[in-house]
This record gives sequence, structure tokens and C-alpha cells, in this order.
Amino acid sequence: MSPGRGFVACFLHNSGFEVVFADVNDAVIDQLNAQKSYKVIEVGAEGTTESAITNYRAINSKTHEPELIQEISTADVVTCSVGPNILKFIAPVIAKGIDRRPEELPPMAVIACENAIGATDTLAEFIKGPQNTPADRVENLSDRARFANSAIDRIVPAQDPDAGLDVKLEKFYEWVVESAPFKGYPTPGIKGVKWVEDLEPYIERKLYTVNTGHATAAYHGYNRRKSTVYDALQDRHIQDEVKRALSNTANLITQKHGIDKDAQDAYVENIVRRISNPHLEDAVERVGRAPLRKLGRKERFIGPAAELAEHGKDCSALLDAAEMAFRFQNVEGDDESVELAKIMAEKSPDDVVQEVCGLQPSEKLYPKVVDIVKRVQADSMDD
Amino acid sequence: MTAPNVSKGKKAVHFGAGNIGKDAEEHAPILSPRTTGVKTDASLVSRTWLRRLLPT
Repeated sequence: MSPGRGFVACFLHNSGFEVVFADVNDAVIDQLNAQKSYKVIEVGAEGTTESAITNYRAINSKTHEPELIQEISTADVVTCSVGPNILKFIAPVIAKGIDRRPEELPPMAVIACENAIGATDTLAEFIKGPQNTPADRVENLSDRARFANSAIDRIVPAQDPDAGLDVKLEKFYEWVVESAPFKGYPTPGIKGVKWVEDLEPYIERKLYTVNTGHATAAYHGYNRRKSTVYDALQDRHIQDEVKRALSNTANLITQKHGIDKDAQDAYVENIVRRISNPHLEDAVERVGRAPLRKLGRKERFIGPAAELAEHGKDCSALLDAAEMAFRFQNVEGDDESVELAKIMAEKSPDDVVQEVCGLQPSEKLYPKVVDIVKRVQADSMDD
Repeated sequence: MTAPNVSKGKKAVHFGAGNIGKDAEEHAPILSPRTTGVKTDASLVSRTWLRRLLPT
């Protein structure tokens, strides 16, 4: 999988940018430099399309840092898709590149394309740290670089082992970027990016639709012994559960963010179609992993359910999905599911709800989730 | 020090050309060996709560 080659670089290439890849993987760097083009293959129910990506180079950031700093110093755009935990490692070289930017050039755009809220802010904080940028250079950093958060959404399925540099991904995409940081300058000309003043509605809509729907299918599917999300969604009962859960969250999203109901309905329909894509063959154990995080207060089930409950609105399908998540215990290869089993065996229902879900007794959702935990704990004793 | 490589057109530097690991879990399915359809662990169906869930 490579959202870098398949998604971000593809957009940049299609917008007329020369792309300089930076990575620590020798094999990928060597292959990129040896091969003048690779294919991006978009798959979907409506067929397959291919496009060729050219006009790129690659630099090993571990062994050729001076060259990479030079490239960054004159770049129009710096992007990354390395994983949120790696941002601190790429910050020093980006900081050096920014610091050496020629005065006559406008600020470069720095956009982190990670599966994390506020990832560019996180990267910017590392860049601005005293170990990476001297205090007197931080003051006028915005003359050299502008930092914009983004939300990306595109499923990249498992790649064929012999695919080489070619990348296969779904046709659907959404790449939304904050426009406010570019005030006074034009936004970077990246075709396909949606520029918005406020990113929060897009991030929440994605989390409470894509991730809620995906996880609902996975947890129900796991408990009904399905292999993949696709298999789960072939089951009419599970399909109904997913639609009910997304109906719960649509109610919240449309009212909270003023998103048009028809537009949200279309978005939901599209999401269900996307996660039902047979080409993705996504195992329920993978999508369901890390249940402790996914049952958290700001996450895909408890987050929207708590808000809905406070307003007296229906959140029953989200709670059903959360119950299935509580039953995702001792799954091979997932440490959190083992930890969840331990917590469920040792703690009281109130402690579980407060510690795992972060809910307080004063919240309207609280007693409903306590009841779920009691039920799951009682069922565990039956087995 | 060599002169910066100033491209004739627009230039972007992108970090991450290969796999990005499990942080990308929402975007990039990593598959376990596929067994089609419903798993055959019959013992699970004996569980009280699952019987309650299964359509009658």
C-alpha cells in the first residue's frame, strides 16, 4: 500500500508538479529512480482505469540529507504520508529546508496527509521546536512556509506482491485542505483538492460515516463469523445494522454542521458502496482491531452517540455496534482486544464505561453503555 | 554546497514513497489470509448471546 505514490503524488503529478519522493527505503528509492513511470490503477464496480505517473525523482532522506534539504528549500509544496508517529522524524529535515528558502520565493505549502486530526499542526510544532528552528527564525517562519491541515479519504487495498511500483486503489477520493493558512497568497494549484475555511465538519463527517460504517460492519461481521467486510455486508441483517448506524450519525451531522440531508444521504450511500467493494477484501479482524481506542469518547461510536443522547435522539444502532465492539475480545494479533478482555473480566461496569469510553455518570448515554457492559460481562460468564 | 535544484515548473517534495505501516490502517487494508464467507467455528453458535442475535 502506498497512499504517497498512489494518491498524493498522483494528484500532484496530474496538477503539473514535478514530484521528489523522500523515503528511507532504499529499494523503493532505487526503483523509483530506475523506472521512469509507474501506473495508478483505480478499481471499482464500474470498472478499472489506469494512468501513468511520470516526472518524478526520489531521494533517500537517510543517506542524502543535504540534497533533500536543497530540494525542500525550493519546493512549492511539501506533503507527507508517513504515519503520525513518524512526523517527528521528518520534521528536522523539513525545518532545515524551510530555513534555507530563498527570500524571493513565496512561502511553501506544507500539508501532512495522515490519518490523524490536525497532523499538519503536529508536524509544524515539531518543526518550530528549538531543536529544529532557532527562536529568532520561528517569528517570521510564515514568510517561508504555510501549514495547512488536511483530511484524506481513499481506500488503498492490499497490493499484488508482484505489482512493483504500480498502485491499485479505489476510485473514490476526498482530499480536503484548510485554505485560511494561505491568506494573502493563492492556494497551491492541486487539482482535486477541496479547499475549505473550516475542516472540522469534513473530518467529523468522515469519522462518523466512513469509520463508523466500516467498524460497524466489521464488529457485527466478526461476531457473526464473517471473514471480510465484504462478506459481512452480504448479510442483510448486518447491512441493515450499518444503515441504521449511519442513519443515527447522519442525523447528528446534518443538524450540527448544517450539511444538506440529501447530500449526506448521497454520501452515506457512496460510503456503503465503497466499503462493500469486493476488490478490497478487508478482513474483519483488521478493521476491528484496537477496540479500546475505537470505543473511546471522541471516537466513531461513543462520540456521536453521546451527542445524540444529550439531545434525546436515537443512537440505538451505534450502541448495538458498540456492544459488538465490546465483544471483540482476545482476537489473535490484536493486543487491545486482549486488554479489553482483561478489563471486562476484572472491572465493574461503571469502571469500564468511565475508563474505556470516557463517559461520566452525569451524561445521558452513561446508563445505556453500563447496561451493555453488564450484558456482555454476563454473557462471558455463560460461555 | 551545490546550487538548489530549482525546477522549471512547479515542484513538490513528498515524504513516504513506500508502505506506511499500521498508522494508515483506516486507509490501507492489510489482509489476513482470506477464507471466503462465513467461518466454520460451530462452537461459537452455542453461545447464548449469539443465538439471541441470529435471525430465527
